[in-house]
Amino acid sequence: MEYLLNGFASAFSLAVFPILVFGVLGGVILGALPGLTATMGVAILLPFTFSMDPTPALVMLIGVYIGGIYGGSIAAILLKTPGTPASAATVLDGHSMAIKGQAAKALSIAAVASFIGGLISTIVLIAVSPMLADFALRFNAPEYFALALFGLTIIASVSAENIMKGLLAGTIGLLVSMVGLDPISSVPRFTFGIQDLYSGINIIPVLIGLFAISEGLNQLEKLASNQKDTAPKFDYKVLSFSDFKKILPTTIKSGLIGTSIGSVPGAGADISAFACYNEAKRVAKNPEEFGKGSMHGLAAAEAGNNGVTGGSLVPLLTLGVPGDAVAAVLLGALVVQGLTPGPLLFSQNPEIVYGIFSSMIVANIVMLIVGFLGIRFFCRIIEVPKIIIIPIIIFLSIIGAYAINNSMFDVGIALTFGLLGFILNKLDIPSSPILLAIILGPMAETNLRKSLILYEGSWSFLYDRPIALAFILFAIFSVYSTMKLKKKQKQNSQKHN
Amino acid sequence: MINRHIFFPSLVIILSLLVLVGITQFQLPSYQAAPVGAGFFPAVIAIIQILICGVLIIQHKNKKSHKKEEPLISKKSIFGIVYLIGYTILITLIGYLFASLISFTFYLVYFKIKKPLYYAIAWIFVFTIYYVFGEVFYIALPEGLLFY
Repeated sequence: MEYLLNGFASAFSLAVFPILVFGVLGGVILGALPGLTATMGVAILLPFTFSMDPTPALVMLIGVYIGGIYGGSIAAILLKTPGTPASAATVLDGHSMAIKGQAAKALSIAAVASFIGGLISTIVLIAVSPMLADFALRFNAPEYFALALFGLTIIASVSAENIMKGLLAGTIGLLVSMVGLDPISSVPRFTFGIQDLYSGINIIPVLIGLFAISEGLNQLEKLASNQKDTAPKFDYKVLSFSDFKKILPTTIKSGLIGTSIGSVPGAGADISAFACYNEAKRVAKNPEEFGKGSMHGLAAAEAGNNGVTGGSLVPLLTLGVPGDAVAAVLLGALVVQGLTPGPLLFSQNPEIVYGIFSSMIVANIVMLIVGFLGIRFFCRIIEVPKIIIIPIIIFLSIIGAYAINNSMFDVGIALTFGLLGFILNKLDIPSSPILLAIILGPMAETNLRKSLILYEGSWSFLYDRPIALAFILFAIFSVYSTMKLKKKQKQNSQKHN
Repeated sequence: MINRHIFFPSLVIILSLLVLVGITQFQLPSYQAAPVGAGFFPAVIAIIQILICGVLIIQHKNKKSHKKEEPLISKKSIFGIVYLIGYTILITLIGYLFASLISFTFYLVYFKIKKPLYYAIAWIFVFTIYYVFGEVFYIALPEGLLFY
């Protein structure tokens, strides 16, 4: 407790607090730009910390991390362009709310849910990090395969009306994820001799193409059809207290799920957001509202992705194993500062560990304040005429795709998926399953094959490992309940007609 | 005109068949420890994809009412696609700054925009991105093959 209080004193000190605010603001801005992820934000600002003391250096990077994950939701809500893969699930309901004229409300829900998700995650990190790390240590290939399988069942949930169309999108994503060197035998697959394809297809250009470029094409088509360029009307009403009470249970639950997912190495904020969204939809009283501007859907996605921020640090700080890409960059920052992440860090440098904990709480508070103060400013984006906003989306998308690897090849990938997303939209085939499958496909395939090697060709790992079995049962239950839900929805709509 | 709900699944079936053929061309690994090889997963996915597309075609055939639909890529959407490809080619040749200035200006002229403010916003945006990416965050922007 003493270390934690000292950490708070340090976080609010004149030497650290401005750096923290700068980090959060920088993270929000970077996260809001399509293509620039929280990981990239932390990586970009990492060299600035080399000359700093350990505490302000880590505090700034954590500020960027938390701000970056939240920042991704701003573009997702206002422009239907997720700033980061973590906010892909935010688009589903956030943008629908903005179209309905509730942009300010959507942004405030995103800020509050992100804050609560981040706060829960930090509290859990402080309280039970050693226990969670121990749980995550039990994960082996069969458990990861089962987790990925469970994740893939979310496709059924995000498939609007026709599950078959969602599954088709999912299989497209799975095939795309298999381009490159085979993860087990290093045999090239579907590379056609193109060097750039050997390392596989990067998720960021795919995301930019499917969501941002396809949206730009949709809007350009409307403009070319001489459809009147009218900016959607909206008010500046933010989240009311009664709305807050309604979304609180979903937000807390999603924050907890996000923290658990984040503590499993390899499962990032993108998977968490979709998993929380799926769970919120499964238990919702009005699941048919999901995807059409549901407050619960938005809150679940945002609390879920920010819930990962603390969770991903659990294995990093306690075991020295990064939970996701950002945690890997933070590991680099710790090493640069001469610190070794792992159990010894708690005993040898407790002031650093608790400094990180307390600065995470402060960073979440700063993010909430920035989120609320910025709502009016962010909302102005919607008021900008479409004729101006469309090329801006396209230009940012192209630059974002290029900036990942300084490669025009990635721009080509973004364009290809932009066109694919545009066509799929016309066929009422959802794009999000493609993204989910690209994220989870390699995890599922690699771990299935590793499990088969481990069990010498036997498939018994599916039922004789308790954690794996639990995930498989969750997956079956998830598909069953989604199918039941869709059937009920269909019957209800037939009754109304 | 072929119905889009028949055309797209049919196209995916053809592509899936090509994937299955492609899998047979995979190199053999120098050492095979796994009970299933590199082609196992793609083959399973391609077969599932063919089945899904088959179901989608049958679903559409069994549908009672068929609304009259626009073509998959309308004439109106061609401008967007050509503009996007044109901008990418231009950026490859002359780099971000000039390509963006030319493309944004052309776009506003194409839509017959007469307000000078819109042109000012467009140019300010292009220069701001150029400055923020290049000077603040040190993120490289496309430089172009012809000149930097």
